[in-house]
Order: sequence, then structure tokens, then C-alpha cells
Amino acid sequence: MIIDAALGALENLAAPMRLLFIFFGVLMGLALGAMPGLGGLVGLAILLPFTFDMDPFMAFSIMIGLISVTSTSDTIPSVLFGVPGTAAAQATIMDGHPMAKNGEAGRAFGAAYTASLMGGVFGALILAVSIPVIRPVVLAFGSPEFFMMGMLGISMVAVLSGNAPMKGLIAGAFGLAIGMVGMDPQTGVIRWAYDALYLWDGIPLVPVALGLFALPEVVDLVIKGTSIADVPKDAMKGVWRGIRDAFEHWFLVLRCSAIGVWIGATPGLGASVVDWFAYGHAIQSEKGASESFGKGDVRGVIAPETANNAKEGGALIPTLAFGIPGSASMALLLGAMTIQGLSPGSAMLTKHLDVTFTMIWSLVIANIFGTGICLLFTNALARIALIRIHLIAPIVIGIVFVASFQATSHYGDLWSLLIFGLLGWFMKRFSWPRPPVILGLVLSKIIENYLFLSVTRYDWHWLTRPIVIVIGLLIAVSLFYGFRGALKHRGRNFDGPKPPIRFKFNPGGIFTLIFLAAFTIGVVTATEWEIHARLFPWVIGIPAIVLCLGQLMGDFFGRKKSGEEDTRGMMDLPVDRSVPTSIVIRRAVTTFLWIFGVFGAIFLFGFVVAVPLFVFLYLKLQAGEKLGLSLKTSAAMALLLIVVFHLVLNVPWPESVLPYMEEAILRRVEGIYDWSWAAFS
Amino acid sequence: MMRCMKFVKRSIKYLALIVALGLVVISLPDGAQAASGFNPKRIKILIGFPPAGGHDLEARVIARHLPKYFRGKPSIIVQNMPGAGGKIMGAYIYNRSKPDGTTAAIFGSSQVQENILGAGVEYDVRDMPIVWAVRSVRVGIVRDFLKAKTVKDLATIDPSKIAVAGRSKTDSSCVTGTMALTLLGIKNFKRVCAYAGTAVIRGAVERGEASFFEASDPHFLGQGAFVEMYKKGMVVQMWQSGQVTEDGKIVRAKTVNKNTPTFQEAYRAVHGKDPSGPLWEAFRKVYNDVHSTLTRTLVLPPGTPGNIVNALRENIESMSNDPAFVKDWEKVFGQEFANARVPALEAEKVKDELMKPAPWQDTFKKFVGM
Repeated sequence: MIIDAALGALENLAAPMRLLFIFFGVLMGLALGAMPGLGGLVGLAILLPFTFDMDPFMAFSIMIGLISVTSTSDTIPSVLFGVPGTAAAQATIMDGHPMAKNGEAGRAFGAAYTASLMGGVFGALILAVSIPVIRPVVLAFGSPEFFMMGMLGISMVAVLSGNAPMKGLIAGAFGLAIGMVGMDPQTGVIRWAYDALYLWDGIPLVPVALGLFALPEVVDLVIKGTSIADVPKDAMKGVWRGIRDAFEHWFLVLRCSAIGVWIGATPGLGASVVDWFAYGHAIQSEKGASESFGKGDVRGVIAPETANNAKEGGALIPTLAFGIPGSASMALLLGAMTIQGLSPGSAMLTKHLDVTFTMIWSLVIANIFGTGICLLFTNALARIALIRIHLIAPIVIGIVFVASFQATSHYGDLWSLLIFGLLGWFMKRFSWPRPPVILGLVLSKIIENYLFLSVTRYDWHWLTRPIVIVIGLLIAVSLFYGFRGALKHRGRNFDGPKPPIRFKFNPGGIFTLIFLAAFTIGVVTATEWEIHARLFPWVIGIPAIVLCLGQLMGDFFGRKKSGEEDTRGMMDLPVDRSVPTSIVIRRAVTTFLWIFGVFGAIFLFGFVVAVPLFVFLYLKLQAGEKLGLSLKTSAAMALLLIVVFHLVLNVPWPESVLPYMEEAILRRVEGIYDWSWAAFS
Repeated sequence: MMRCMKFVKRSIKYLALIVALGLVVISLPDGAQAASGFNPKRIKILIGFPPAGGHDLEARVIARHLPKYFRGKPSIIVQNMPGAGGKIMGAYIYNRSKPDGTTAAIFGSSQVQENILGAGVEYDVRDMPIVWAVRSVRVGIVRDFLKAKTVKDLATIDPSKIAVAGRSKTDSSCVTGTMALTLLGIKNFKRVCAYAGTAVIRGAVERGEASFFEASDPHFLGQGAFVEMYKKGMVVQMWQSGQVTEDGKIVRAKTVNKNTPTFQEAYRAVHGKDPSGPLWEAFRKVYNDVHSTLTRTLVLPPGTPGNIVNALRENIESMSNDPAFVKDWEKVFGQEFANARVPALEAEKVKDELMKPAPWQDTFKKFVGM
């Protein structure tokens, strides 16, 4: 029966019209994945109303076509600008962007697309073969198992901290702490949100990720003042090398695909952490990875890119079998199923097996289409790395602002972007690993909720559940590998005789002091809350204070000479130290002033006026570009905001102090749009 | 200094150029001005949750059918503004949207409840006219392994086996479920209210992690979350909120199994008398009015002129009688639209009654711990 259904669905999909639908979905998915802050969710929301008039095969082929490939094209901004295209492409930055800087953007793209294709097909395959056993496997995972999965993710902090385990743990604890901001569902206590409604639901991931990674990267590129790539290379030649790399590392691809499926199938984890799981696993298991990762190792691109495409097949498992969406995109797919009169559950694995196989085949076909299209454009894209940074910087900054605003459409998103942008830049400068902050933020609510559910439901008996024990062992192995790597580096810090311990001034220590103050305030404030609300903040906050004190000792009383830094095994993007400090400070201040200027202009005039205005003024005044080029680039930015974000996505722009110009423009644009729509209809 | 002056001069020059461009834009004809009367070019429906939930799908069905009831066939745009359980969207429409009929929002019963509880809410449902409303019927369900066929069985089993599922402490399922069990005299049950949504709760119920859930009738109809489990006998309906008749009586609703008693009947079966007292008064209001009659409402910003409110109500009323709309709505929600529909004025009446200061509100706040 299964084979018949599989063949029947394939025959059905082979019809040119259905293939065209998949192709259309793929094009949409690629465009949305490449635009930071959008992703597949936005596209699915746009498509959803149209599925009323489609049959299930059409509806799911276009929708699956779309979500399958956002994780393929999200590599583009990650590699080129260090800006994560979607949440699932954060880890790709770690080696993809250094590869672009080394003139290997083409190779990074080739490897990423091929790995994405292999991961996507593997995910579909796992989904297909798991159909007969899908339900008991999913049922075996309850709150205790989900909690342990979250803890496994947190254990990756040890790996992602590289040679700075103390800093990594503090950064991870900070991520966990900011993940606790907002309403505690168990007690209803509002934690650290004060009177800001924006913070009630917690700090959203998108502005934090863009702030931590994208803004510091742009600022550093401007400080350097050249193009992204230092060395121009033949991009196309690099693409083939990248494709070969993916095949050569087939076993890594296979392992990361399995990780992708597993994390994708775990509700609540999914896209936000799948790449970090795979990246962390690659560091643990690949030879020499702790030395070369973070500096442009192609395996650091292959691992996350395989996993983030494989996750879609995994996410479909609980979605189809139980109606439990493995991700936000899957929730929309469930919406489409409702519209189509299909209910998830055993019927999808028996009566409607043809629809299920339509989804599986669509996954495979879409991944092939997506990879093919991306490879076609790789040469051109890779050359972007050769364009001078002053031309790219204002565009990237403008897009990052708009992308951040997509999180909750609130000014708070822009504040988060700026605050985490500054934090990220300082973290990078003072060699604090940033990935643990993201891991902590994403996993904080998950582990707290599932721990609460596990204890409330099972008391402490949940600790004896077999899968819990197995995952516990995996965590122990992960921690062992992580800290062993760090200790190895520690022993290598001094080549000659050890210098004596003495006081030294270290500007990085001030940064530690800020963390210490933040944790102390957090712990003290929590004393006012009821026990269940303050328990988790204390469990994280108090050890973090101790760690900060330990780090301070290291900062101010250490063996290393003042200013000396060991970056071996540092699990973050490397900092270019070739530019003199005085120039770094001057250029950083200037760029951050421009960035704060954009925010001010948005507050005064609104997005639609402020962002193109910023692009124009930056190009003309800061970059000294010609008037025509500045005007054209600014107009292109205005067109992007108006057509894509206003007319297609209907973004609710924030209120500004002087909204007249923005309102006038938008009213006229809407008038023209409505008129042409009516004429077309 | 010279460089700085040059920079300022250049800045002024280009800013002047931008201002000139702006003036050109403003001088263009305004094609989007609304015609006289209430004939908007576009209407936005705001949703306080991510796409694909009940609120979102309802708005999309409305957006599909409502335009034809306006002369200018406006574009109806569904805009998701998730955050803080709908509070961010609530604050937005209440404080920022123009009261000109071009913005509406779907409010859920929990947003009305939050207003009653009054915690950190920046909107007041009293000021927001309702132009459309749908009701649902609440249904208390238990897992089969509890071996409770009736509410009398439930009252006698070991309460530690009862694990009430919900999204948060103040979520409708958790609040009404714990109130109902407390009224029945069941104590020391487990309250596992931190699941991420109904779909996740469904999974928890299926694997036996949660054994009690306050569902609603759409969950048992069409493609509802509990249809399959109910058919297989994995979940048993204990009671229902029922439907309030015109004379204020609570009767069994048509959309739920006719053998499922109303909560009053269930209470009588356990205690041998009708429920009474402050907690019952609070429960009745929250269970039957907030979370049943006002399940989902389409509201307008405060201060929307009466003629616009009436125009919208009339057009929505016409849409509600359109078989094409009814077909789409029933396809999505799996129930008869006629059973769910609540006339806007009736919903207004229920809302006004609920929002009048009364002792039951204090009892409710105390129970929830606010």
C-alpha cells in the first residue's frame, strides 16, 4: 500500500501544472530566505488564503516547495554579509562569512547548496521510511524527553565556547536570563519586563540575532574599509570545489541530516537551534575542527546547511502524525490542512497517504529545483563580496532594521537590535563567544517550561525514564568533549616559562563587570517574586555571578600580559586586529552614529522615508559616491520597502513624530496600486 | 574644522534636494482617498496571534467574502501582530488605529478575560464596538485510563491522577478546568498549565501526560483536534458549558454529544443540589459568557462613528447569510455556522453585562490569584 501510494503521488506530481506550482513555491521560498527577517512563514501566510481554491495536491506542493528551500537561500546573506538569512542560518555565518572574506564565497555556496540538497532529500527519505513506526516513536517523547533535548542543546555551550569556557558559560547564562524575560506561564509573574508590554512575550530572537551578528559584522567591515573579500578568486571554480567538498564529507552530511531530522521533529526546538546542534556536533566529531572552525572551514558550512534543510522532513513527522507542529511553518501547513478538510493523525498515514507522499515528493523535487536555481546564480552572488563595503553597508543596515521590525512590528524590536548590536560588537572585540547567548535565549523558555511540566506531572520519577537516561548520557559526552577541548587550549597558552601572576588593567574586565552587575540586579529583583517564578532565574543567576567573579579575577589578575590575546580555538568570527585601535574607535563611533541616526530618522519620519534617506545620505556623505548612484540605490531601497514590505506583506509601520511625508507617499502608492489592481481585475 | 563645515554644507544641500522630492510627491494626486460615505478602499483586520490559528483563519474567511458587500470592493488585509497573548495588538488597535472603520481586530475571549482581570492591559473592550461574534461550547474531557465514565466516577478517583492541561495559569482551559474541579469538590489534582498551544496539549493528552482538558466543541467537529481520540474512545466528555436560552436557562448544546450533561447537571449528579455561591457565580460568567458567547469577536477602535459601525454590521450580516461564506466557514471550523453565530448586538449586551463592576469579578480575581 505504501509503495502504491508513493508511486501514485509521484505520478500525480509529474503533471506539468503541479511541477509549475512547486517551481513557483521554490522561487518564492528562495526570495524570502535570502531576505533577512522574512523566511518561509511570511510566504506561507500569503499563500494560505489561495489554498481555498486549490486541491490538496496543488496546495501542499506549492507550500512545501516554499518552505523546503528557504534554508537553501538563507545562506546567501549569511555567507556574504554575516547576516543570518533566517534563524536556521545563524551558524552558517561562523565559517561561511570568513570563507567569503578569504575569497571563497563561491566554494562556500557550492558546499552549502549541495549539503542543503542532500539534507533535504535525506529528511524526506526519513519521513517516508518512518511512516509505519512514526506514531509510537513520537509518543515516546514527552515533556521530560523534550526537557532533556533542551539540555542537550545547552550542553553545546561547552563546545561553542571554544577556548573560553568561563566566558562561554557566562554568555550562555546571559542568554538563558534574557530568555526568561516576560510572563512566566506557570505563575503569571512578569519577569524583568517592568512596564514594557513589548517584553511581556519575551525578547524575540530575530532582532537579537541580527543585533549580535549582523550589526557588528557591518561595523567591522566598515572599519576595515575594503570589500568583504580580501582576495579576489575565481568564484565559479570555487563552486565546483564546494560541491566536491560536500560529497567528500558525506559522513558528516549523513550525521548532520540525522540531527536535522531529530531536532526538526522536536516541537519547540526546530529552526532556531538546529544549525547550532549540527555545528556543535561537527566541532566535537571532526578532526582538527576546534582549531580551524570559525576561520573559514568548509565543514563548518556543510554541517549547519545539511541540518537546516533536513529539519523540514523531521518537522513533518509530528505534524502529520499528531497535528503537533514541529515549527511555526508547520502550524501554517496545519492551517492549510484544515482548509482542505484534512485532519492530521492516523488518517494521514493510511487513508490520505497519497497526500502525505505528495508532501514527501514535493520536498525532494523542491530541494532539487532550489539547489539548481541557487547554483545558477552563485557566480554573480559571489562577486558581491568584491564590491566595496561602503556601497553595501547602508543597504545591509537598512535591511537589517526592516528585518528586525518584522519580529513583532514594535519599536522594541529596533531597541533590541541596537542594544544587542552594541553588545555583540563589544563581545566580538573582547573575544566573548556570541553563539552561547543565542542558544541560551532560544532554549531558556523551553527547558524551564518542560522542567516545570515534568516535575509537576511526574514529580522526580521522570529522571528514570529510559530515553531521559540515554539523552543524559549524550549530554555527558557532549560536555566532556567540549571542556576537554577547552582544557587542551588552556595548556597551550604559554610556550615558555609561565609569567608571574600580577595585576593588569584589561578593558575586557569592564565588560565582565557589566555582566556581573546585570546578573546581580536580576537576582536581587527576583527576590520579590513567588518561589516558582524566581527559582529558575536564581538557578541560572547565582552561579553566573560566581562565574563572573572568577572571570574578573582572570581579567585583572592573570598570567597573560595586558592586551595579549589567544584566539586559538575561539568559537566566533575572528576580529581583524590589523587596523590601529585609534582608527577602530573613530570608525566604530562614526558607524554606530549612523546606525543610531537611522533609528532617530525612523522615529521622526517613519521607515519608508527614513531608510531610503539614510541610504542616500550615507552614500553621498560618508562613502562619497556619485549623486546618480546614490539616488538610484536610495530609490531601489524605497521601492523594496513600498512594494515588498508595504503592499505585499502589509507591514504595520510604526507611528512616527512627523508622519506626514510617509503617509502622503503610502496613500499615493496605495491609490496607484488599487487602481491598477481594479484595472487588472 | 573646514572638513566639518564642508560636511554640513553638503548635508544641507542634499537635504534640500530630498525636501524638494518630497514636495513633488505630495503634489501628486491622492489616488487612495476614500469616497464620500463609508466606502473604504482597504480594511485591515488585525490578529493578535501568529498565522494559522482560529483567529487567523476566521479573518481570512471574512477577508475572502466581505469585499463584495461594499460598493468599492475594498481589499481586506489580514495582519498578524502576535505578542503577549494578543495584548500588543489590543493596545495597538485601542490606542493607535484611526476610528474610521478601516481597521478592525479579532478579539478572543481571553482578551476579554484579561480586561476583567485588569493586569497590564492597555485596552478597554467596553469602548470597542462589536460588529461580529461567534460562540463555542466548552467541553470538559478526561482520558479513558482514568476510568471515569461519568462525573460521579471522576469525583471518586484518586485526584493526583488528574492532570489539568493548559497554556498558562490564566489561560481559558486552565482557569475554567480548575474552577470546575474545585466546584465539584475535587482537590489535589495536578495543574500542568505550561504547554505551547492546543496542538501540543493534544499530544500530551494522547500520550497520557495530561488527563483532563477543557476543550471546546470545534475540537470534536470536522477536523478538530480531538475528533480521532474521541471516536476511538480515548477521551470521554464529562460535561459541557451548554447554551444559555433567552430566559437565562442553561441547556445542552446541539453541537456536543446529547448525552454530555451541562456542568449544572454534572454538579447535581455529584452533590444532589444546584450549584450556588460566589465561586459558582464567577464560574458561570466566565464559563458561559466570556469563554462561550464571546469566543471570537470582530471589534473596532474606540470612537468609531455610529454610522460606520452600523454600515459594517449590516454588511457583515449580509455576508453571514451568503451560502458561499457559510460553506467556507464551515469547511474551516467543521461546525454549523448557524450554531456558532452570535448577533453583534447580543454580544454587545453580554459584554456590557460582564464589564459592569460586580462581586463575582473579585471572586474570580482571587481564584486566579491576581
